[in-house]
Amino acid sequence: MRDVRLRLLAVAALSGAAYLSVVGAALACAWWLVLSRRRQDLPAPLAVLYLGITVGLAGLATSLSGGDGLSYTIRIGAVLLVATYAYAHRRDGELLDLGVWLLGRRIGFDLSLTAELALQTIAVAGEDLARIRLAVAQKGVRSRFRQWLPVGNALLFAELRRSRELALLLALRGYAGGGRHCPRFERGARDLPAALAAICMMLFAILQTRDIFILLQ
Amino acid sequence: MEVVFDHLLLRRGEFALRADAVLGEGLHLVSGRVGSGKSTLALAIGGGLRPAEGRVELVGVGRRLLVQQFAEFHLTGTTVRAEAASWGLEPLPLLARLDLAERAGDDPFRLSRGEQKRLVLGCALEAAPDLLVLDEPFASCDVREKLRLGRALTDRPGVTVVLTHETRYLPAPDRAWTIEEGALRPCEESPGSG
Repeated sequence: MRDVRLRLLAVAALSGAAYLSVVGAALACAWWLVLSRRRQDLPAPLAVLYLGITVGLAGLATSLSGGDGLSYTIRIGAVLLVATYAYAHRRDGELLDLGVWLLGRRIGFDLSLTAELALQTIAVAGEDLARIRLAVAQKGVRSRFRQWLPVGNALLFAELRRSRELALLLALRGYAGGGRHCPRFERGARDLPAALAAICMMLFAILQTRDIFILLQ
Repeated sequence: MEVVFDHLLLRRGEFALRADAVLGEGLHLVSGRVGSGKSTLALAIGGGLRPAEGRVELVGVGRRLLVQQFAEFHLTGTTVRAEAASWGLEPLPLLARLDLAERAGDDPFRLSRGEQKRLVLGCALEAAPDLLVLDEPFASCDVREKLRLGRALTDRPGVTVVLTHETRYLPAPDRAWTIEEGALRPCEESPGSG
């Protein structure tokens, strides 16, 4: 999906559907299978493993405390799957387009600039992390457990320094809140049908959820 | 000792770099314009990037060290003294030689970028690895430090690979290479200045 407005609308709808019920989660997964680039959209296998273990443990804890752990695991797993789609299909600058289009040149610009910078930081931090881990391993600290403290410390300082330099750069360029930006959007042929399908899935998940159905009666 | 690029193909996103070469003992200069792939190659030699195809083979190399362009990636000690010790070195004599003895008790992240670079380069050279890879070593250094580094690289044993576009302070390399159009190629004329 090329239009960020429709893509994020679809992502929000699918996340809602997946969170509401197992059927909604199944529908969100089906949507992902049709519209994603499959493995290309997924993060590194190790990250998938860590996410899987985290969600699985949370599901187990839910089961042990009397809840429906399996349902929780499936629903949160589907929400994360939709999130990987949103992250993999992002393009630099599009949140600025969305923010200014939605909320204007003052608060919209500020909020979307913050979001753009946050996303850039995630991408850069991943590369920094790999470089720091290599540097630490060269000193003979090869155990991931023992690397945790020095790597975390170095990564924190690297990101803080980058943030300070970026803030200084923005100030030097005269940024004092708000800004001029002319939003531009491209739309692919499948964008609208995909967004409508996602909204239908969320509506179905809402209607299918028994508690809400009872409330409506 | 040799570093062998055996039909090496490195990929980072859309970018690709090919290398098929043997780097023997001595000083090797790898130059190329900004963005040509010098840091990518440095990372691969240092073991931080897995080749898409081919391999980097280290023949007879025991310890290898990659000093990255940004020194802060290397800092893990809570003090400058602890940082030097984390490289397995005796800190105080080394810090005295690096003019950092007075900062021994400071947090290394409170040093300036130039001082951090001096500290990391000094530790890496003192560690005397068989293979030393320096990615833009002159960046952030003042002239005094550049001259000191140039002297330290002269006649260093083992394999030294310096990836930089700044050759003014580098001793004449034993072999010069350039990265052009996504491939590592030998230079016909050595750009070393000494």
